[in-house]
Amino acid sequence: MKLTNMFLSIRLITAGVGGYYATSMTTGTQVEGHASWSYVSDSFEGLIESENSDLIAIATVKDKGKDSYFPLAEDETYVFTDATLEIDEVLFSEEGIVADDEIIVTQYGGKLKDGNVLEYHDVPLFTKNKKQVLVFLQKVVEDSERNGKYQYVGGNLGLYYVDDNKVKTIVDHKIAKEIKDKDIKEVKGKIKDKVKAFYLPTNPKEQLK
Amino acid sequence: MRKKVGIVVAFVLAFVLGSSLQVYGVIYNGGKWRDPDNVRYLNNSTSYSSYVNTGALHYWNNYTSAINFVQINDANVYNKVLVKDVDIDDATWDGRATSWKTNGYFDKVEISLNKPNIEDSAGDIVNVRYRVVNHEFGHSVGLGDLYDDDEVLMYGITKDTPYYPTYTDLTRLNDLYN
Repeated sequence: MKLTNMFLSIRLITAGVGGYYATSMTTGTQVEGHASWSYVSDSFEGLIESENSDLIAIATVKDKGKDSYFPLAEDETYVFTDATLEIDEVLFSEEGIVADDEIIVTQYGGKLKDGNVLEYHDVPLFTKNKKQVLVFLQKVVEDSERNGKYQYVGGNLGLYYVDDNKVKTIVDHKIAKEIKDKDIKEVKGKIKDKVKAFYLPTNPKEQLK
Repeated sequence: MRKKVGIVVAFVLAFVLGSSLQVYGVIYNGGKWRDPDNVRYLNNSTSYSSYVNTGALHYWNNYTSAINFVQINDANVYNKVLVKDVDIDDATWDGRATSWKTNGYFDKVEISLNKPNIEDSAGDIVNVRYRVVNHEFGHSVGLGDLYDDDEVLMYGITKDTPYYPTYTDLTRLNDLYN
């Protein structure tokens, strides 16, 4: 009996080790990006007050994007993939964006010229359509293909997912912790209150309730 | 019959546990060098050249024995860390590291230092420059960002935080290479 148990233990350990090394045999090269994001704020209120956002909205991914491009010829790792978002609800807009409008978000990452896909671990590319998100976006002003499109404020500070009416985050920075797993209605209410208090109304089309 | 099913389930769980440990290791730290005693870097930075060399040769090499940076001048060497400046005004980052790795080991890493954003950061500008350089070097040897502690070099957002590898950063590095 003891011998049987010993053999079983050995087989279980072998299975575990086998799993470990089987997963290590990755096929091909992995390319990963890590950024030191520019400071915006340490708090959710500060994120709204920072005046970095041109658009704060709940939106749905209409087209996660597949074609990548390189805005700067001299940097072949500076690659982007555009996604199309359909606006579900505007919480703040500098330019009169309203519900049902479509906007383009330039996502960091995409297919490199060597065929590998570069992905930023804390701002992943959308993997499927119909994902609902809460986004803080700023308009890009750049002498490139990105000009006029949107990007997330503060890198990973500007993108949150909405699942089952709860806010989900990718990384646990201070701002994410304030709203993680909170009901989206509660978070939207906070945003609207802060926007009303801080910004003058600039959007004649979309009335904040 | 029940005993056999139980054994099969145990095998599958063991296999999954083993593979998830590997996945966690790769995702957490993003890779490592096969020869950490000889991490070659090419300094193509013009605006931050002295910061790059001091960062690698002093702040990293003297603070830890887990890795050792070696400066090279040969651009044709493939397995290396390349450091360069960029000038991208409307980017939302101060520095970034792009790594190519195969089977969990780095083939090469490229570090980009974004001058307009670095120079626009709040705080002591010398510390900020070192902070960005040393942070990206941290990525180049396999350290990922931390977001639950802003008193470490590898905090993922540029702040007036430690501009050198801290005890926490070095402990993570030792865990990765030992």
